Amino acid sequence: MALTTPHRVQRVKKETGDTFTLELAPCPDGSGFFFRPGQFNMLYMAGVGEVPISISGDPREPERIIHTIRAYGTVTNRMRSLKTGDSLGVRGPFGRAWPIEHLIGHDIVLVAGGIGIAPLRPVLYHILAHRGKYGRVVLLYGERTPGDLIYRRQIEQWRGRLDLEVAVTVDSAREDWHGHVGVVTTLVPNVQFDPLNAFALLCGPEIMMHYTIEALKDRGLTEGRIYVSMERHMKCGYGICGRCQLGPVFVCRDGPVFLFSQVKDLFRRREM
Amino acid sequence: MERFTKIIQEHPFFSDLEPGYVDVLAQFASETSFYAGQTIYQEGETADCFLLIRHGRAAIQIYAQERGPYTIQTVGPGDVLGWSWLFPPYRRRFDARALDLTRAIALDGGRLREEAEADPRLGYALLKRFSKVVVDRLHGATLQILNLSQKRS
Repeated sequence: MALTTPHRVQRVKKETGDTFTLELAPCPDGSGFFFRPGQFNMLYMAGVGEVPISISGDPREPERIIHTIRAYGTVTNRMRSLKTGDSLGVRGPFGRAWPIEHLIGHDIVLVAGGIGIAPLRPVLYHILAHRGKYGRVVLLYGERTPGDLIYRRQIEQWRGRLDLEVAVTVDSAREDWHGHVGVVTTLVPNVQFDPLNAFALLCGPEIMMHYTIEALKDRGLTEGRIYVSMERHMKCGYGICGRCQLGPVFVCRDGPVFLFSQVKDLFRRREM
Repeated sequence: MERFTKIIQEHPFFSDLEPGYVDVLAQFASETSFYAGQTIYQEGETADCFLLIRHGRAAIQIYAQERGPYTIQTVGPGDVLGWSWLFPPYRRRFDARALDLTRAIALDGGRLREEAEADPRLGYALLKRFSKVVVDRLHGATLQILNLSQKRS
């Protein structure tokens, strides 16, 4: 059972007005830990509380534990005040990861809505490190406004690659934005992938994933080829406390990544 | 006119329209282009045509007094721009501005309405397609409002 271990904040990067990235290192030996893309840690701030946060760094760099956090509740708002040298408790990693080994040889469509880009970034790191093993790779990323886009410089670099298709959209924009405007589903009809040989990985608000799945199905992708990362109030990380129970599954233990065909009956259920 | 027939037939918006009706549309077609930044139309203007975009991109915008123009959607090749010509009071609901050099086929809305009144099958064929544009935009706008108004999480 993973215990909370103290970590030191190595770096704080402000991504947007309400989103920031923490780079953590374990105390005292700094040896790091291994995780798989899609997993999460429980981050504990003494005297404030504990929150589940996806790991958003490169899985090949275990000495740098990276979390991108959107300030939402009490704990994450207090985390905004963390500075280099401050300490934070880390428990994890938890959860089922994206099935990256299973995706070898296939086209990959990554679709992120808002902060959902953070749990997908490790997948992209992995794919780009083993680029020859995968077919076409597409990243679709939707945000509220241009000012809310996170990892902007990195996404611009990825967009410049010839072996990666990147499309970004925002819900609304001022006149100085020359990119696409519209919901992320509007990007799906125009991207290149083979629906018979592709897998899609989705992370974002459930309603966004719901309509993205519809758009992907319109392109011929079947439900057995779509993975989703579900978000629930995860607490213990072991499927014991029941806080994140979703019908017969516990999101913290059995997810957060699920094959859509396995959870479709639980998806967007009003009483859950 | 043959050239327009071919272009309309190949445009995704009308790709499955009966050939006879494609010929009707072609009678009312003309080529148009807009340079980057040029206003295509403005809210409140008479909606007398719609555009089948062939190249370039355009922004659909709403003007807020205190914020200036806000882009709510972008459209590009294969898309259609403008549906107000089909629905009373035939006035533009939004502004449209070219983001890049944009080339399009413009179709005369007034003439098409007359044809649609005379031939309800054509009217229905047009209404089906443009209603989908309106419904998709309404749906997109609803999700956009939801995203923008949700507590930042």
